[in-house]
Amino acid sequence: MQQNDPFIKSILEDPDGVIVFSIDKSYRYTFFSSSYRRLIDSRFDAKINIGDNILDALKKSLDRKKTQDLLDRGLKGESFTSEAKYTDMISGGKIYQINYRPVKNEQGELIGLTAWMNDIYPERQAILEKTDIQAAYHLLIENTTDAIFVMQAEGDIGKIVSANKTAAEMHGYSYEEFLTLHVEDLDTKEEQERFDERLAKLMNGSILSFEVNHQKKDGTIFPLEVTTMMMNLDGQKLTLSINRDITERKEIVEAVRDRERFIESITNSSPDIIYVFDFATRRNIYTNRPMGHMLGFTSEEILEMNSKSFPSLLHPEDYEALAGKLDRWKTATDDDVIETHFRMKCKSGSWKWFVARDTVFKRDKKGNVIQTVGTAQDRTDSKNSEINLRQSEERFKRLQEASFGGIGIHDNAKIIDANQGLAIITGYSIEELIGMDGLLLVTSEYREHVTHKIRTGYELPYDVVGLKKDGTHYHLEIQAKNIPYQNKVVRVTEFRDISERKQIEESIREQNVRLGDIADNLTRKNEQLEEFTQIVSHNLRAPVGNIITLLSLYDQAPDEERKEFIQHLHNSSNLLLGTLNELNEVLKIKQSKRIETQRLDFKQVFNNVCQMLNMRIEELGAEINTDFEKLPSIQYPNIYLESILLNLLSNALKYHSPTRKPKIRITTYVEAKNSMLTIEDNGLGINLDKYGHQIFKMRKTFHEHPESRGLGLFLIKNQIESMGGEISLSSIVDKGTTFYVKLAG
Amino acid sequence: MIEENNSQPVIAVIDDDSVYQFTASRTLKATKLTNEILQFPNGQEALNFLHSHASDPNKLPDIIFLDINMPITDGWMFLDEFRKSKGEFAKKMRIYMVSSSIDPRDLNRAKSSPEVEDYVEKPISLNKFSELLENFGLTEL
Repeated sequence: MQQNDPFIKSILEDPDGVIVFSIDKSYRYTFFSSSYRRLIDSRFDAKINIGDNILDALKKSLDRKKTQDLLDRGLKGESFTSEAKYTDMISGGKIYQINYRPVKNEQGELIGLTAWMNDIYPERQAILEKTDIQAAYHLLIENTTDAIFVMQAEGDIGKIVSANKTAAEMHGYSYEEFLTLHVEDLDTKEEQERFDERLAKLMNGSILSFEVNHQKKDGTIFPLEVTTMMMNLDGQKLTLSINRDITERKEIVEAVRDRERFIESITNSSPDIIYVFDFATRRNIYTNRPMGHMLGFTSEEILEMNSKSFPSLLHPEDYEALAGKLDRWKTATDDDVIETHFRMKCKSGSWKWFVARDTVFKRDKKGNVIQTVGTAQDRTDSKNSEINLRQSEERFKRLQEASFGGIGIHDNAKIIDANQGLAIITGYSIEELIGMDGLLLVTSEYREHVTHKIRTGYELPYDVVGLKKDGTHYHLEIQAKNIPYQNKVVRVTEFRDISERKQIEESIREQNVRLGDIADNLTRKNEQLEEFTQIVSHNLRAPVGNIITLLSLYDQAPDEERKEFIQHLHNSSNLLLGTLNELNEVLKIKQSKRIETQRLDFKQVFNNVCQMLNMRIEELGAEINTDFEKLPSIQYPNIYLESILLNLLSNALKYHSPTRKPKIRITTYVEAKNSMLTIEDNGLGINLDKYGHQIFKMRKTFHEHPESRGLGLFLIKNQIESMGGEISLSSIVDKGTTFYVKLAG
Repeated sequence: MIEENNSQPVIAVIDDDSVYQFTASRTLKATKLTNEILQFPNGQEALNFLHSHASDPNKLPDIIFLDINMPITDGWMFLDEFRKSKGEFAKKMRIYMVSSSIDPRDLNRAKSSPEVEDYVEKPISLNKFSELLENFGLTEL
């Protein structure tokens, strides 16, 4: 042996060199490499030398018996390979392949053996691992909920060559069907258009992840998330796709997005600023619109402004209020709303008022508030209108001072404000008016009326009688309106002194009465005119017609009848003349606008009339009683009173009963302020049912009486009415008649 | 003497105006178309006569000249009464309203009364009477 040969030595002594040993038939080491010696040393804690028994060196080995058997097989001349597992702290697990080889001398006699040991652990491990991964992959691929398939990336590009069952199920195909498909069968039209672009990227070696829409066998389209890569298999270019059905995820995402959009649309539609303030960063982590926009800044300007400059926009007087708010959160409950009023400076330099209302949004585990949610509202207008209101109140005050009418504002009837106009109208001073019961400004009989108007909120003008401080009454028009004022309703009342208007109204009313009288008078005149037509038509035409006829017959009349003709002509002419005279009398009454009146003694006028009728009275032996005690005299036209008495008395005498002596009674008296005259007789009487309507008409007679001409009543009726009086009668046939004359009012 | 001339109509003149009664009867006689003229000073007396001879066609007039304005019972009142008892009379009588009134209301009222044949204005001439009486003869044929 040339153990000392430096070349051989370098091989045997190399620490990472071959592991080899040899023994003789009596188990003594004849040779070993330094790697073997180190292995035995480290494994079994044995320092070995040439000539040592191997069985002694391996006495700590658990596999000593097994090793001796293997050594014995080798010493019997067998050449074989075995494996041994070693594990140690330094090198980790090792698997040694040991090749036993018998050693013979030149004579061919067996003298010992050599054993070569090779560490095959890494190799074996790789094999072991490879087997496990394939099994795992298979399980994974077949059981995953993702669709996995492989398609050709060259030749028939897109042809599916391999797939898992999920891929087929996901697309609604059977597994066998799916393997015959092409990617075009899965991609929607839109996806097909992108295919080339994607393929190009894959060819560059990228692994692509994207969302894609596939269509199922039944045509329904669903979204997938795809991860795809290029791979080389047996020199063929393929693409591997892992596809996840994300329909549900999409729906959830969509729902979340809807919700976000909903909240966003609410917050965006709000004119207020809505924000979430984070205490750690001292910033709004959410806001629907930056406050800067409300102050007139652009988004760029807001970005430029850092958070430090923003508080500088805060009005210095309001800084403390906002700073103090942070302390208040320490004790705030979730239900608390903290309100702060503050001003911010606009880009234009003017100030805007904001009202912020914040409440707890999030607390940490210890319960400290870490985020708040709040709204900030631009209240500049209402703040300004408060100021404006104050100014307009001032203006109103001046206005109502300048008003000509009286204005009073009252609350529950108590006057809380009044203008100078009201003071002038009522005679009270403004100081006296304020605090006074407004009802005292109207007379007591109108207070209930006014109270009712107040209670019902009546807003139209109405008239009452006003009461001045000095007690005088005056016509007053009131118009009031309920007006909300400082959280209550007050009544603003305007007072208008309408005495003058009332006077005008009064005179108009009087004029209306006069006009009515005139109209009545005209109507009466018209009626009288109609009567005239009748008179002209009948009472004048009749006698004239007779005269004409008589004259025409006269020539042929025999002599003995001519005397009769003359008599008729005479009567007719007399009648004509009489009628003309009577008409003249009536016309006189109608024409005289104002006949002179004088104080007349009834007794005296009566005596005059009696003298005129003296013969008739005596002839009939009539008994006439008078009673002028109650009304002895009257202011009246003499000829009218004479005419009235003469006609009524002669009427009473004329229509006396043939069976009774005429008894006539004349009375004057006052009834309801009217001067009355009655003449009562016991004569024939008149059937009023039959003739009542035409008694006072001209040329009406109701008795078959020779002297009846009927014009008298018409005449005196005209006379009486021209003096504003009336005439009426009551009568019972064969008992008598009473005429009632209202001479004057 | 009246019965001798049965073909001539019996005339009634109802009027309170005695002068008119006189001239009317003279004129009627002058027509030579009638010889029998009944005269009534008012409607009441005329009605009394008609009622008492209601069933005697020889006594009842053929033509009545009725004045409007009369005392006691005027022309209108007469018409009212006449209308009520028309059925009782044994003879159809023709009524002419007569008046010197030129009041259109009287004219209209007369024209609208079915019992009234016509309205005749006073005074009535000989020719007018002749015409009215001749008319009667024609209708009888």
